[in-house]
Amino acid sequence: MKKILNVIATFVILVGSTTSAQAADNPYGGTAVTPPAPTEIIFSITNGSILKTYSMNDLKKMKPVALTIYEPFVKKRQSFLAVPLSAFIKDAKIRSTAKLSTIALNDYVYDNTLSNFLKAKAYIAIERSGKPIAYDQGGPIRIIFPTGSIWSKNLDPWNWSLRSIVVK
Amino acid sequence: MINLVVLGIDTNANSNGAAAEKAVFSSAESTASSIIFTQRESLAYTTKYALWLAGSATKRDVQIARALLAQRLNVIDIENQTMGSRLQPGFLAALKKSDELVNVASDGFLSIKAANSIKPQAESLISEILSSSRAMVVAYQQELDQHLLLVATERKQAAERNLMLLLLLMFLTSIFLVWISRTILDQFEKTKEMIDQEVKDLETARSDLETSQLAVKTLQELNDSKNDFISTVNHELRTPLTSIIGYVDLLKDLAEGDKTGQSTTIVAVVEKNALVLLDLVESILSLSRLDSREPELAHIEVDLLKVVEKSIFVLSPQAEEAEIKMVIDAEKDVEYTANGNPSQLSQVFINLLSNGIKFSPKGSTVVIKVRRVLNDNMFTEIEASITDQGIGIPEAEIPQLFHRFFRASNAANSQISGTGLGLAIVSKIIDLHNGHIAVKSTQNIGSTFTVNLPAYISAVDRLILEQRGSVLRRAIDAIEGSSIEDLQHVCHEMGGAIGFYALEEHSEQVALFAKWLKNSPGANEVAILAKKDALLDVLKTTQRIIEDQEKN
Repeated sequence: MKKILNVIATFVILVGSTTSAQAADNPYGGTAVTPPAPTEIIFSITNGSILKTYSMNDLKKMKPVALTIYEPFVKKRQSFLAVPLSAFIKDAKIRSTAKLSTIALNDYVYDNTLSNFLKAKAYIAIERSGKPIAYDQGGPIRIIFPTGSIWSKNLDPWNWSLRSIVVK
Repeated sequence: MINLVVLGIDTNANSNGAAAEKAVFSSAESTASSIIFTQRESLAYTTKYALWLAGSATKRDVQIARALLAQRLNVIDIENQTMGSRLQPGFLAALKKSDELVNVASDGFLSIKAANSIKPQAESLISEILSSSRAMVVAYQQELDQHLLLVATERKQAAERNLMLLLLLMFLTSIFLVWISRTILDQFEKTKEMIDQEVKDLETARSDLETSQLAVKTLQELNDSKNDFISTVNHELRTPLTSIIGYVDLLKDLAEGDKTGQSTTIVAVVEKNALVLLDLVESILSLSRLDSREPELAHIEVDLLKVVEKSIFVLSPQAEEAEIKMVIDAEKDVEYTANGNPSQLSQVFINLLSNGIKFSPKGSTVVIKVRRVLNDNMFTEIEASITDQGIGIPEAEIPQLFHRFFRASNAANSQISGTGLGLAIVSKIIDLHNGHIAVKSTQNIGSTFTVNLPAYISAVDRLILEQRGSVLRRAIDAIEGSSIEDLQHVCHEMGGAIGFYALEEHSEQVALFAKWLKNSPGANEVAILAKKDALLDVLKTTQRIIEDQEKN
């Protein structure tokens, strides 16, 4: 019984803290949206007939790296856990001359060549400050660029709430 | 401890990244982009909301769309404002109400019954969100329009100002160019006038030169004619005159036998006139030789006292006959040497003494005074003055006395013979010797003719004279630059040097100063400097005179 009470208390504290943290991060947010389940497919790459899908657990297995960058949309220094875009090339058999379309949950699309994405050192961020990235913070996954990258000042490629990449 | 290290790294990273952060944030999203994206996101949310109401989307789909809208509203734009802060209050209120409707709904799709119950309110909220979103765009557009209008107005005003300035500048430039053009034109006209005048002057000068050349040529021709004439005179007049005078001497012997004495008188008249004529011819020939362009006779060291003595000796018969005494006044053991031609200088003194004898009464004395003098330019001259006790010369006629063929009125009236060429010859010879002659005369008292000739200077003496200026300058510099302690020694040395270069008086003054310094060991500085300045004034005055001489 004591264990059950402890779990409930912990859950309440966690939910409460998450909600308050989200409210503090985004004053214009509504009700907190529950993050996707670890095994839920949240990201896909379509390369012709090849379709690769990824859950949060899959992404965490792709040797994500920690990096701290200046986030130009909220003008803050933020730490992310992110998977380099280069990690998906072999997995999805993307040719070097390919063009990529990054597509967000709100259907925002950004097109450019793979080589330019690689030159700009693109990453797919899966956590921020050690926590899942909330939807109202551009989560659950988003494209980021390290400070000093050729696209660190070019805001168009910073695709929030990334849903998929289509290879052309 | 670990926390401190982490904090340190973080702080360091912060400071290192400050510049990079500034660079990144300077390229934040533009306000226009943010507004457009916000409107798009609002549309996406309301669309999803409508789909949810229609049962085509889940509650989670709506919540995700709402979260994405929140993300958009939280973006900080280039003006450092979030989109949320730009929204009208109605937008946020509608959002909040829409959130409340979603929150109370069951998960998954909305049932038709539930949808119907909230549909009017939801549609109203959707409409409010969309209209507020459009209002935000319109407000921004109006703000932008006003800004653009303001910028355009300012630019127009600036352009008008610049145009006015440009016009003013062009106007001033035009005035300046006109002024410059007129100035240049005026200058050109003046220069042209000057050039024209100079051309005219040159033409005149050329014409004058041609005239002068013609005149010179004519004069040369005349001179040649004159010389031819003189030669003719020499041959055709003097030779027969000499012969006549010889025959007159014979006639004098023959006339001694004539007891009436008439022959003697006639012969004496003939002899006298022949001698006058011969004298005239000789004088003309002398002047002719002096005027000729023949090379000058060599000048040598001439003892003027001996020349005077010789002249007296030559004229002694004439003087004895006239009972005139000739006396020389000269100092013993003094050199009276000049640089000149002995025969020409003899001619000078013979002519002057001859006049003295001729125009003086019997029993009177002609005094020849010879001296060595220093002229105004500090050059040594030999001065010889011949003073007689004769009839004198009218003062008004003195300026013409040396003109050729001029005879003083009282001389002509006194029946004393003369050609009027003797003094002209004297003047010419003295000119050729760089000397000068002066006359002082009082009628019936006597006359004094003073001849000054440069003293003879040997080559060594000339060298010494040429070095006087530089030696004196060096002496002045040495004395001027010397300290009081060294002054006595310097003056002693310089005094000797100056004396060697024929500046005896100055040498003596410097030596006196050196002696005074030696005998006045306790003299105060002011007194020494005063004496030194006085000495330097004297030396500098002399130096200026010497410099003027060198220039001349």
